[in-house]
Amino acid sequence: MGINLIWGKWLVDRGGMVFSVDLMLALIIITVVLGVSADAMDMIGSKMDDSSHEASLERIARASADMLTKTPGSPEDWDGAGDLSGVTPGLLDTDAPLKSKSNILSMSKINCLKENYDELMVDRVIPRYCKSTMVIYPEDSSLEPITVKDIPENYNSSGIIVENRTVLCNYHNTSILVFINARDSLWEQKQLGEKCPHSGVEEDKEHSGVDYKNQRSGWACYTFKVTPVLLNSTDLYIMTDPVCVGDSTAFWIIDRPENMTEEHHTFQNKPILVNNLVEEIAANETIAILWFHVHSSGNQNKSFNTYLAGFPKGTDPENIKFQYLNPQPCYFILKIWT
Amino acid sequence: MDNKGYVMSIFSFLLILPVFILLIVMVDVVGQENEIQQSTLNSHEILVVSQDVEVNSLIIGREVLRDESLKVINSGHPLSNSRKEIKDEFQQRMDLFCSRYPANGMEVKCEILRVDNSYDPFSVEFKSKITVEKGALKHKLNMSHNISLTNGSYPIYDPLPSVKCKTHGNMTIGGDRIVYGSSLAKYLESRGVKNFKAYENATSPLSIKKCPYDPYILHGNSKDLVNLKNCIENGFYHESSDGSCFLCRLEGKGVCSHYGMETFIIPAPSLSLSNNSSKAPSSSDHVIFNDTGDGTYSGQEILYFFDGKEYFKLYLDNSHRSKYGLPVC
Repeated sequence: MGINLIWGKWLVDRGGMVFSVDLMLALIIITVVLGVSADAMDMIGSKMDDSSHEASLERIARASADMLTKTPGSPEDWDGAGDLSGVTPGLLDTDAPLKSKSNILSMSKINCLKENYDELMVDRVIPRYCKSTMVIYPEDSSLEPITVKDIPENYNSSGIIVENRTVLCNYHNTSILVFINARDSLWEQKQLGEKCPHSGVEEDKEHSGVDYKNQRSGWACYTFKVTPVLLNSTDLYIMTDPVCVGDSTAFWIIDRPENMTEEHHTFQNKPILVNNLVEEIAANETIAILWFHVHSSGNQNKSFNTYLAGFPKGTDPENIKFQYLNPQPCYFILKIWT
Repeated sequence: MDNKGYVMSIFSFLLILPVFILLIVMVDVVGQENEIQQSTLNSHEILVVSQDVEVNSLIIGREVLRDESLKVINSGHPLSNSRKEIKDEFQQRMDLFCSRYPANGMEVKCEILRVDNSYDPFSVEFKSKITVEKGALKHKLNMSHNISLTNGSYPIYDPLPSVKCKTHGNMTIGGDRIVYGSSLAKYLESRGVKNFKAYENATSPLSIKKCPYDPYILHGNSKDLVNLKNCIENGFYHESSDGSCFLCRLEGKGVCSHYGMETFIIPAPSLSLSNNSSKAPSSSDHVIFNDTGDGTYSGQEILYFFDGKEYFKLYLDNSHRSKYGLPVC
């Protein structure tokens, strides 16, 4: 009876609580908190591990693509210099006018990079343990992609990092000698071209300026310089935009002030090669200033732009289009893997 | 612990503390992620704004040159320090342009450091510093650009003739040329130059255009001087180390020490051919407007065109004749 009493003392509630609902709730909270934090730490740990490996390669790829497409390299004319030892490559064209702040890549720098890829890229832009390929795909599928570097073997890697940039590229190394922007002049007061030597010779043969605002027919006359070097290295073409000229009184003349002519030619709904004509007119002089005269009716609905442009000698006639005179949009794709 | 107290109360309090700490840490991590993204966006925006300011500074610069030149032409008063005045006006306009950015939370400042000649007499160079700030990010850019006097959607006019001749009489504008009337002749007479009457009703170009007949000896390429005639009709300007540069023309200087440009001031065509040995001030603008001592030397008459009724001529001295490939006398 005494022992029972002693046991009873333990079991009988005397006001204090050792184990209560409170404790249970607290234990639940502890468990939840510990579980969540353990899980979070595990996640963070694995994420950090992953991203440090990936980020280094991804960061390298992103930085390389940015450096190549957004900087002109250092020194800026590194494609001309023979010695490439201190050069940091970059493909931006420094000759491009400032107004177009977009990324125009220079073909000569691309070609120089193609020839000296390993020397310029490995250990300077991309670490030695990485392999890379670089291809420039023009958006126009009729043009061929430029392969700066391609490794023909199979990629057998767990992760290939691809960096894709949209850039502009002067694909064909063309030069525009004369650009008559008739369509943009429809609303401007400025007269197209200059006063050509035909003015003042005879009253009715004067080349009065075309006036699109008042729908009056006339001429747009521009100068251009030819040298034997230019004629030997480029094919000169006359092109119109649109290709088919609807204006029935549209024709053109090329002549010199020393040898003026009224012999006009019509537009032929396709690019016209004028090397022979220009050679004949320039007559073997070291430098000759020629005039390109274009006559149009002044009808705003039939207005057309005219280009006199030079393509590198021997360009396929299929590739002679006025769209190629301007830089073409291309995709610059750089692939890096270990 | 009293009879009615809880043992666990202190423990539960101690447990709630880590919960709060964890909450704070998570909120901070999420906040940091957001900050990183925000700063990337900010950085991109700052770059775009700085490019925008750079491109617009060229446009505004050309407008400043046009407006200052028009101001001088209309008033006839030269600027006292064209480089400083253009810099100040340019700075004012750039400040006005940059004042719209604070509405977006960005602080943009474009400080024009210097306006001066460039290596090309047909351009004006300016150096500036652009600072763009947003939040904690700051971007500073030092740049130097050339503003073309010839390439643009509007022409820039030559201020020199107005400064020299406006006080001497009425000058008018005919087509794209300045018609002096008697003002040029009176100006030359006031300086005591011989044979000033040759420049009665002379004309000279109004807007600055670059001559395409480069190299300049092509002007005399043919016997009937067709290139020279065309150059004169169009009113082209030529590079010349004796000629005045654009900034000095705004100050009313006919000659300056910088590499500048020159053009021809053409006497009125005459009905009869005077004897070929007539001499008059040489028809280059830096000769006629050179009022520093004996700067106005004379040149021999050269006939470049006859249209059946009138003889078109100008006067050139031997050094100009050899520069433009014309026959030397």
